Amino acid sequence: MRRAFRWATALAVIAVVVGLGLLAYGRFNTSAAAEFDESIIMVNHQTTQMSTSLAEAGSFVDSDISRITEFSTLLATWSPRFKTARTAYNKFDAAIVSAETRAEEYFANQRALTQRYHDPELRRAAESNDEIDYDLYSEWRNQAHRVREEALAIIRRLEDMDTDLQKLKLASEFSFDSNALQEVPVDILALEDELAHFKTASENIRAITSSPFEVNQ
Amino acid sequence: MTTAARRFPTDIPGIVTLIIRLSFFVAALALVGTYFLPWARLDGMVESQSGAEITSIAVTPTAQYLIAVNTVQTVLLVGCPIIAVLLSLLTLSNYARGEIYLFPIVVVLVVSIVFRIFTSDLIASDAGALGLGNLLCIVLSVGLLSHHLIIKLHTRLYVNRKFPSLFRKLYFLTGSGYYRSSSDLRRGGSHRRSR
Repeated sequence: MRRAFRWATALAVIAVVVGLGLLAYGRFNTSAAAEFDESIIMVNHQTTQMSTSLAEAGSFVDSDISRITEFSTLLATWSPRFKTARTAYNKFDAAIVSAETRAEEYFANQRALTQRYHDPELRRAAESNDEIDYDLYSEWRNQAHRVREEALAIIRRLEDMDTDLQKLKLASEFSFDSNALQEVPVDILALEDELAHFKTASENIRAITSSPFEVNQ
Repeated sequence: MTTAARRFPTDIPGIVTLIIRLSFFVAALALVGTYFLPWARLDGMVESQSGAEITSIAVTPTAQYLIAVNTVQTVLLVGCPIIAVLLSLLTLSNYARGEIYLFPIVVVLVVSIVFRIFTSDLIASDAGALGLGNLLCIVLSVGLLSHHLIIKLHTRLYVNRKFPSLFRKLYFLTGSGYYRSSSDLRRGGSHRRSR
Protein backbone atom coordinates (compact mmCIF):
# COMPACT_ATOMS: atom_id res chain seq x y z
CA MET A 1 0.00 0.00 0.00
CA ARG A 2 2.75 2.43 1.01
CA ARG A 3 4.62 1.66 -2.21
CA ALA A 4 1.51 2.39 -4.30
CA PHE A 5 1.04 5.67 -2.42
CA ARG A 6 4.65 6.64 -3.10
CA TRP A 7 4.31 5.86 -6.80
CA ALA A 8 1.14 7.93 -6.99
CA THR A 9 2.91 10.81 -5.24
CA ALA A 10 5.85 10.63 -7.63
CA LEU A 11 3.47 10.62 -10.61
CA ALA A 12 1.61 13.65 -9.19
CA VAL A 13 4.91 15.55 -8.85
CA ILE A 14 5.86 14.67 -12.43
CA ALA A 15 2.39 15.69 -13.70
CA VAL A 16 2.61 19.09 -11.99
CA VAL A 17 6.16 19.78 -13.21
CA VAL A 18 5.46 18.66 -16.79
CA GLY A 19 2.05 20.40 -16.95
CA LEU A 20 3.41 23.68 -15.64
CA GLY A 21 6.47 23.44 -17.88
CA LEU A 22 4.36 22.87 -21.01
CA LEU A 23 2.03 25.75 -20.15
CA ALA A 24 4.91 28.13 -19.46
CA TYR A 25 6.61 27.05 -22.71
CA GLY A 26 3.37 27.64 -24.63
CA ARG A 27 2.92 31.08 -23.07
CA PHE A 28 6.57 32.00 -23.62
CA ASN A 29 6.28 31.16 -27.32
CA THR A 30 3.10 33.11 -28.01
CA SER A 31 3.51 35.16 -31.20
CA ALA A 32 3.89 38.95 -31.07
CA ALA A 33 0.69 39.28 -33.15
CA ALA A 34 -1.34 37.23 -30.65
CA GLU A 35 0.03 39.27 -27.76
CA PHE A 36 -0.72 42.54 -29.55
CA ASP A 37 -4.25 41.35 -30.33
CA GLU A 38 -4.78 40.32 -26.70
CA SER A 39 -3.56 43.69 -25.44
CA ILE A 40 -5.93 45.58 -27.78
CA ILE A 41 -8.85 43.47 -26.50
CA MET A 42 -7.74 44.34 -22.96
CA VAL A 43 -7.71 48.08 -23.77
CA ASN A 44 -11.21 47.83 -25.27
CA HIS A 45 -12.48 46.02 -22.21
CA GLN A 46 -10.88 48.45 -19.77
CA THR A 47 -12.21 51.42 -21.74
CA THR A 48 -15.76 50.15 -21.32
CA GLN A 49 -15.17 49.37 -17.64
CA MET A 50 -13.65 52.79 -17.00
CA SER A 51 -16.40 54.76 -18.71
CA THR A 52 -19.01 52.79 -16.71
CA SER A 53 -17.16 53.44 -13.43
CA LEU A 54 -16.73 57.15 -14.13
CA ALA A 55 -20.38 57.45 -15.11
CA GLU A 56 -21.39 55.74 -11.86
CA ALA A 57 -19.24 58.12 -9.83
CA GLY A 58 -20.75 61.00 -11.81
CA SER A 59 -24.33 59.83 -11.30
CA PHE A 60 -23.78 60.07 -7.56
CA VAL A 61 -25.66 63.41 -7.44
CA ASP A 62 -28.95 62.39 -9.02
CA SER A 63 -29.30 59.01 -7.44
CA ASP A 64 -28.16 59.45 -3.88
CA ILE A 65 -27.18 62.80 -2.53
CA SER A 66 -30.69 64.20 -2.22
CA ARG A 67 -31.68 61.28 0.03
CA ILE A 68 -28.53 61.33 2.17
CA THR A 69 -28.86 63.09 5.48
CA GLU A 70 -25.94 61.62 7.40
CA PHE A 71 -22.33 62.21 6.52
CA SER A 72 -21.25 58.64 7.21
CA THR A 73 -23.87 57.43 4.70
CA LEU A 74 -22.57 59.91 2.14
CA LEU A 75 -19.01 58.63 2.56
CA ALA A 76 -20.13 54.99 2.53
CA THR A 77 -21.89 55.62 -0.80
CA TRP A 78 -19.12 57.69 -2.31
CA SER A 79 -15.97 55.79 -1.28
CA PRO A 80 -16.61 52.49 -3.17
CA ARG A 81 -17.54 54.38 -6.33
CA PHE A 82 -14.43 56.52 -6.09
CA LYS A 83 -12.23 53.50 -5.44
CA THR A 84 -13.77 51.60 -8.39
CA ALA A 85 -13.29 54.61 -10.70
CA ARG A 86 -9.66 55.02 -9.57
CA THR A 87 -8.93 51.31 -10.10
CA ALA A 88 -10.64 51.35 -13.49
CA TYR A 89 -8.44 54.27 -14.57
CA ASN A 90 -5.29 52.46 -13.37
CA LYS A 91 -6.28 49.39 -15.37
CA PHE A 92 -7.03 51.47 -18.46
CA ASP A 93 -3.69 53.28 -18.18
CA ALA A 94 -1.80 49.99 -17.64
CA ALA A 95 -3.64 48.39 -20.59
CA ILE A 96 -2.57 51.24 -22.92
CA VAL A 97 1.08 51.01 -21.78
CA SER A 98 0.97 47.24 -22.27
CA ALA A 99 -0.60 47.59 -25.75
CA GLU A 100 2.09 50.10 -26.77
CA THR A 101 4.85 47.73 -25.69
CA ARG A 102 3.23 44.84 -27.56
CA ALA A 103 2.78 47.08 -30.63
CA GLU A 104 6.49 47.97 -30.66
CA GLU A 105 7.39 44.26 -30.65
CA TYR A 106 4.82 43.48 -33.32
CA PHE A 107 5.95 46.23 -35.70
CA ALA A 108 9.62 45.43 -35.09
CA ASN A 109 8.89 41.82 -36.10
CA GLN A 110 6.91 43.02 -39.10
CA ARG A 111 9.77 45.26 -40.27
CA ALA A 112 12.34 42.50 -39.76
CA LEU A 113 10.27 40.13 -41.90
CA THR A 114 9.82 42.75 -44.61
CA GLN A 115 13.60 43.20 -44.80
CA ARG A 116 13.94 39.51 -45.63
CA TYR A 117 12.41 39.97 -49.10
CA HIS A 118 15.05 39.71 -51.86
CA ASP A 119 12.80 41.10 -54.58
CA PRO A 120 12.84 44.96 -54.33
CA GLU A 121 9.29 45.20 -55.71
CA LEU A 122 7.93 42.80 -53.10
CA ARG A 123 9.84 44.59 -50.37
CA ARG A 124 8.50 48.01 -51.42
CA ALA A 125 4.92 46.67 -51.48
CA ALA A 126 5.39 45.09 -48.06
CA GLU A 127 6.86 48.32 -46.65
CA SER A 128 3.89 50.23 -48.02
CA ASN A 129 1.48 47.80 -46.31
CA ASP A 130 3.50 48.02 -43.09
CA GLU A 131 3.20 51.80 -43.17
CA ILE A 132 -0.57 51.59 -43.60
CA ASP A 133 -0.75 49.27 -40.59
CA TYR A 134 1.49 51.54 -38.56
CA ASP A 135 -0.55 54.64 -39.48
CA LEU A 136 -3.73 52.88 -38.34
CA TYR A 137 -2.03 51.96 -35.10
CA SER A 138 -0.70 55.52 -34.64
CA GLU A 139 -4.21 56.88 -35.08
CA TRP A 140 -5.50 54.40 -32.51
CA ARG A 141 -2.68 55.29 -30.10
CA ASN A 142 -3.36 59.04 -30.43
CA GLN A 143 -7.05 58.47 -29.71
CA ALA A 144 -6.13 56.32 -26.72
CA HIS A 145 -3.88 59.08 -25.37
CA ARG A 146 -6.62 61.67 -25.82
CA VAL A 147 -9.08 59.46 -23.95
CA ARG A 148 -6.50 58.87 -21.22
CA GLU A 149 -5.99 62.61 -20.80
CA GLU A 150 -9.78 63.14 -20.54
CA ALA A 151 -10.05 60.32 -18.05
CA LEU A 152 -7.12 61.63 -16.01
CA ALA A 153 -8.77 65.07 -15.84
CA ILE A 154 -11.94 63.48 -14.47
CA ILE A 155 -10.01 61.31 -12.04
CA ARG A 156 -8.17 64.36 -10.71
CA ARG A 157 -11.48 66.11 -10.16
CA LEU A 158 -12.83 63.01 -8.43
CA GLU A 159 -9.72 63.00 -6.23
CA ASP A 160 -10.35 66.67 -5.39
CA MET A 161 -13.94 65.73 -4.62
CA ASP A 162 -12.71 62.96 -2.35
CA THR A 163 -10.39 65.42 -0.60
CA ASP A 164 -13.37 67.79 -0.18
CA LEU A 165 -15.34 65.00 1.44
CA GLN A 166 -12.46 64.06 3.73
CA LYS A 167 -12.17 67.70 4.78
CA LEU A 168 -15.91 67.83 5.37
CA LYS A 169 -15.63 64.72 7.48
CA LEU A 170 -12.91 66.37 9.52
CA ALA A 171 -15.01 69.54 9.82
CA SER A 172 -18.09 67.55 10.85
CA GLU A 173 -16.12 65.96 13.69
CA PHE A 174 -15.00 69.41 14.75
CA SER A 175 -18.46 70.98 14.33
CA PHE A 176 -19.91 68.25 16.53
CA ASP A 177 -17.78 69.62 19.33
CA SER A 178 -18.77 73.19 18.56
CA ASN A 179 -22.48 72.36 18.19
CA ALA A 180 -22.60 73.48 14.55
CA LEU A 181 -23.79 70.27 12.92
CA GLN A 182 -26.20 72.11 10.67
CA GLU A 183 -23.28 73.35 8.57
CA VAL A 184 -22.56 69.86 7.27
CA PRO A 185 -25.78 69.27 5.28
CA VAL A 186 -25.35 72.73 3.76
CA ASP A 187 -21.82 71.82 2.69
CA ILE A 188 -23.02 68.52 1.25
CA LEU A 189 -25.64 70.28 -0.82
CA ALA A 190 -23.01 72.74 -2.00
CA LEU A 191 -21.16 69.80 -3.52
CA GLU A 192 -24.03 69.10 -5.85
CA ASP A 193 -22.90 71.65 -8.44
CA GLU A 194 -19.39 70.25 -8.34
CA LEU A 195 -20.63 66.69 -8.79
CA ALA A 196 -22.77 67.75 -11.75
CA HIS A 197 -19.53 68.59 -13.56
CA PHE A 198 -18.28 65.04 -13.00
CA LYS A 199 -21.42 63.60 -14.44
CA THR A 200 -21.21 65.73 -17.58
CA ALA A 201 -17.51 64.98 -17.99
CA SER A 202 -18.00 61.23 -17.54
CA GLU A 203 -20.77 61.23 -20.14
CA ASN A 204 -18.38 63.01 -22.49
CA ILE A 205 -15.69 60.41 -22.03
CA ARG A 206 -18.14 57.60 -22.58
CA ALA A 207 -19.09 59.18 -25.90
CA ILE A 208 -15.41 59.47 -26.86
CA THR A 209 -14.29 56.03 -25.71
CA SER A 210 -17.09 54.13 -27.37
CA SER A 211 -15.82 54.84 -30.88
CA PRO A 212 -12.05 54.77 -31.51
CA PHE A 213 -11.15 51.29 -30.27
CA GLU A 214 -14.17 49.50 -31.62
CA VAL A 215 -13.39 50.71 -35.15
CA ASN A 216 -10.13 48.77 -35.22
CA GLN A 217 -11.38 45.55 -33.67
CA MET B 1 -0.24 -14.19 10.06
CA THR B 2 1.21 -13.90 6.56
CA THR B 3 2.58 -10.70 5.05
CA ALA B 4 -0.33 -10.53 2.60
CA ALA B 5 -2.81 -10.88 5.44
CA ARG B 6 -1.14 -7.99 7.29
CA ARG B 7 -1.30 -5.80 4.18
CA PHE B 8 -4.91 -6.51 3.29
CA PRO B 9 -7.06 -6.81 6.41
CA THR B 10 -10.02 -9.17 6.29
CA ASP B 11 -11.87 -7.95 9.37
CA ILE B 12 -14.54 -5.24 8.99
CA PRO B 13 -12.81 -2.51 11.08
CA GLY B 14 -9.58 -3.12 9.18
CA ILE B 15 -11.33 -2.82 5.83
CA VAL B 16 -13.14 0.35 6.96
CA THR B 17 -9.83 1.84 8.09
CA LEU B 18 -8.20 0.89 4.79
CA ILE B 19 -11.01 2.49 2.77
CA ILE B 20 -10.76 5.64 4.86
CA ARG B 21 -6.98 5.81 4.45
CA LEU B 22 -7.41 5.40 0.69
CA SER B 23 -10.11 8.08 0.64
CA PHE B 24 -7.91 10.62 2.39
CA PHE B 25 -5.00 9.82 0.09
CA VAL B 26 -7.26 10.30 -2.93
CA ALA B 27 -8.52 13.57 -1.40
CA ALA B 28 -4.89 14.74 -1.07
CA LEU B 29 -4.33 13.70 -4.70
CA ALA B 30 -7.47 15.63 -5.73
CA LEU B 31 -6.12 18.66 -3.87
CA VAL B 32 -3.09 18.57 -6.18
CA GLY B 33 -5.47 18.12 -9.15
CA THR B 34 -7.33 21.36 -8.34
CA TYR B 35 -4.25 23.19 -9.64
CA PHE B 36 -5.32 22.18 -13.15
CA LEU B 37 -8.94 23.26 -12.70
CA PRO B 38 -10.18 26.83 -13.30
CA TRP B 39 -9.24 29.11 -10.41
CA ALA B 40 -10.41 32.47 -11.73
CA ARG B 41 -11.28 34.48 -14.81
CA LEU B 42 -9.00 37.48 -15.00
CA ASP B 43 -10.55 40.86 -15.75
CA GLY B 44 -10.54 41.40 -19.52
CA MET B 45 -10.09 37.72 -20.42
CA VAL B 46 -12.78 35.57 -21.97
CA GLU B 47 -11.98 32.18 -20.43
CA SER B 48 -11.26 31.09 -16.87
CA GLN B 49 -7.64 30.27 -16.07
CA SER B 50 -6.48 27.22 -14.14
CA GLY B 51 -4.02 27.57 -11.27
CA ALA B 52 -1.24 26.37 -13.58
CA GLU B 53 -2.24 28.88 -16.28
CA ILE B 54 -2.29 31.69 -13.72
CA THR B 55 1.21 30.71 -12.56
CA SER B 56 2.45 30.61 -16.15
CA ILE B 57 1.24 34.20 -16.64
CA ALA B 58 4.44 35.18 -14.77
CA VAL B 59 6.46 34.59 -17.97
CA THR B 60 4.10 36.55 -20.25
CA PRO B 61 3.77 40.29 -21.01
CA THR B 62 0.38 40.17 -19.23
CA ALA B 63 2.37 40.03 -15.97
CA GLN B 64 3.69 43.54 -16.65
CA TYR B 65 0.15 44.80 -17.12
CA LEU B 66 -1.02 43.11 -13.91
CA ILE B 67 1.96 44.50 -11.95
CA ALA B 68 1.16 48.00 -13.26
CA VAL B 69 -2.43 47.64 -12.02
CA ASN B 70 -1.58 46.30 -8.57
CA THR B 71 1.79 44.79 -7.63
CA VAL B 72 0.76 43.19 -4.34
CA GLN B 73 -2.33 41.58 -5.83
CA THR B 74 -0.28 40.30 -8.79
CA VAL B 75 2.16 38.62 -6.40
CA LEU B 76 -0.78 37.03 -4.58
CA LEU B 77 -2.51 36.06 -7.84
CA VAL B 78 0.54 34.28 -9.26
CA GLY B 79 1.98 33.10 -5.95
CA CYS B 80 -1.04 31.59 -4.22
CA PRO B 81 -1.77 28.76 -6.72
CA ILE B 82 1.90 27.67 -6.93
CA ILE B 83 2.30 27.73 -3.14
CA ALA B 84 -0.96 25.77 -2.85
CA VAL B 85 0.16 23.07 -5.28
CA LEU B 86 3.66 22.72 -3.80
CA LEU B 87 2.28 22.30 -0.29
CA SER B 88 -0.45 19.98 -1.62
CA LEU B 89 2.32 17.78 -3.00
CA LEU B 90 4.02 17.89 0.40
CA THR B 91 0.73 16.90 2.07
CA LEU B 92 0.31 14.07 -0.42
CA SER B 93 3.86 12.91 0.26
CA ASN B 94 3.19 13.02 4.01
CA TYR B 95 0.05 10.91 3.56
CA ALA B 96 2.04 8.42 1.48
CA ARG B 97 4.63 8.14 4.26
CA GLY B 98 1.97 8.06 6.97
CA GLU B 99 3.22 11.24 8.58
CA ILE B 100 1.14 14.21 9.58
CA TYR B 101 2.30 17.83 9.69
CA LEU B 102 -0.27 20.59 10.15
CA PHE B 103 1.51 23.53 8.54
CA PRO B 104 1.32 22.55 4.82
CA ILE B 105 -2.43 22.00 4.81
CA VAL B 106 -3.05 25.12 6.90
CA VAL B 107 -1.00 27.20 4.46
CA VAL B 108 -2.87 25.67 1.48
CA LEU B 109 -6.16 26.71 3.07
CA VAL B 110 -4.88 30.19 3.88
CA VAL B 111 -3.46 30.90 0.40
CA SER B 112 -6.65 29.62 -1.26
CA ILE B 113 -8.74 32.00 0.84
CA VAL B 114 -6.26 34.86 0.36
CA PHE B 115 -6.47 34.29 -3.41
CA ARG B 116 -10.26 34.44 -3.23
CA ILE B 117 -10.41 37.63 -1.17
CA PHE B 118 -7.34 39.75 -1.92
CA THR B 119 -7.04 39.66 -5.72
CA SER B 120 -10.33 41.41 -6.49
CA ASP B 121 -8.79 44.18 -8.64
CA LEU B 122 -7.39 41.66 -11.13
CA ILE B 123 -10.31 39.25 -11.32
CA ALA B 124 -13.50 39.89 -13.28
CA SER B 125 -16.20 41.37 -11.07
CA ASP B 126 -19.11 39.10 -12.11
CA ALA B 127 -20.39 36.28 -9.92
CA GLY B 128 -18.83 33.35 -11.82
CA ALA B 129 -15.33 34.82 -12.01
CA LEU B 130 -13.88 32.63 -9.25
CA GLY B 131 -13.56 29.08 -10.45
CA LEU B 132 -14.24 25.56 -9.25
CA GLY B 133 -10.54 24.83 -8.70
CA ASN B 134 -10.17 27.47 -6.01
CA LEU B 135 -13.43 26.42 -4.32
CA LEU B 136 -12.47 22.73 -4.36
CA CYS B 137 -9.03 23.60 -3.01
CA ILE B 138 -10.66 25.34 -0.03
CA VAL B 139 -13.17 22.51 0.56
CA LEU B 140 -10.57 19.72 0.29
CA SER B 141 -8.04 21.51 2.46
CA VAL B 142 -10.72 22.04 5.13
CA GLY B 143 -11.50 18.30 4.96
CA LEU B 144 -7.85 17.26 5.16
CA LEU B 145 -7.17 19.77 7.93
CA SER B 146 -10.04 18.20 9.91
CA HIS B 147 -8.45 14.79 9.40
CA HIS B 148 -5.09 16.15 10.57
CA LEU B 149 -6.72 17.62 13.67
CA ILE B 150 -8.46 14.32 14.45
CA ILE B 151 -5.10 12.54 14.24
CA LYS B 152 -3.64 15.15 16.60
CA LEU B 153 -6.56 14.50 18.95
CA HIS B 154 -5.96 10.76 18.64
CA THR B 155 -2.31 11.24 19.60
CA ARG B 156 -3.30 13.46 22.51
CA LEU B 157 -5.77 10.83 23.75
CA TYR B 158 -3.05 8.18 23.55
CA VAL B 159 -0.49 10.30 25.40
CA ASN B 160 -2.93 11.29 28.15
CA ARG B 161 -4.58 7.85 28.33
CA LYS B 162 -8.05 9.38 28.24
CA PHE B 163 -11.38 8.33 26.66
CA PRO B 164 -10.31 4.85 25.51
CA SER B 165 -13.62 4.20 23.70
CA LEU B 166 -13.24 7.42 21.68
CA PHE B 167 -9.60 6.49 21.01
CA ARG B 168 -10.65 3.10 19.56
CA LYS B 169 -13.40 4.64 17.41
CA LEU B 170 -11.02 7.26 16.00
CA TYR B 171 -8.48 4.53 15.35
CA PHE B 172 -10.84 2.68 13.01
CA LEU B 173 -13.02 5.47 11.65
CA THR B 174 -10.28 7.87 10.60
CA GLY B 175 -7.36 5.53 10.05
CA SER B 176 -5.54 7.72 12.53
CA GLY B 177 -3.74 4.80 14.09
CA TYR B 178 -1.70 4.45 10.91
CA TYR B 179 -0.29 7.97 10.97
CA ARG B 180 2.46 9.53 13.00
CA SER B 181 1.82 13.15 13.91
CA SER B 182 4.58 15.76 14.07
CA SER B 183 4.58 15.59 17.90
CA ASP B 184 5.23 11.83 17.68
CA LEU B 185 8.07 12.41 15.24
CA ARG B 186 9.62 15.04 17.49
CA ARG B 187 9.59 12.55 20.35
CA GLY B 188 11.21 10.05 18.00
CA GLY B 189 8.50 7.47 18.54
CA SER B 190 5.08 6.47 17.40
CA HIS B 191 1.86 5.26 18.93
CA ARG B 192 1.04 3.36 15.73
CA ARG B 193 -0.04 -0.23 16.15
CA SER B 194 0.53 0.14 19.86
CA ARG B 195 -2.94 -1.15 20.72
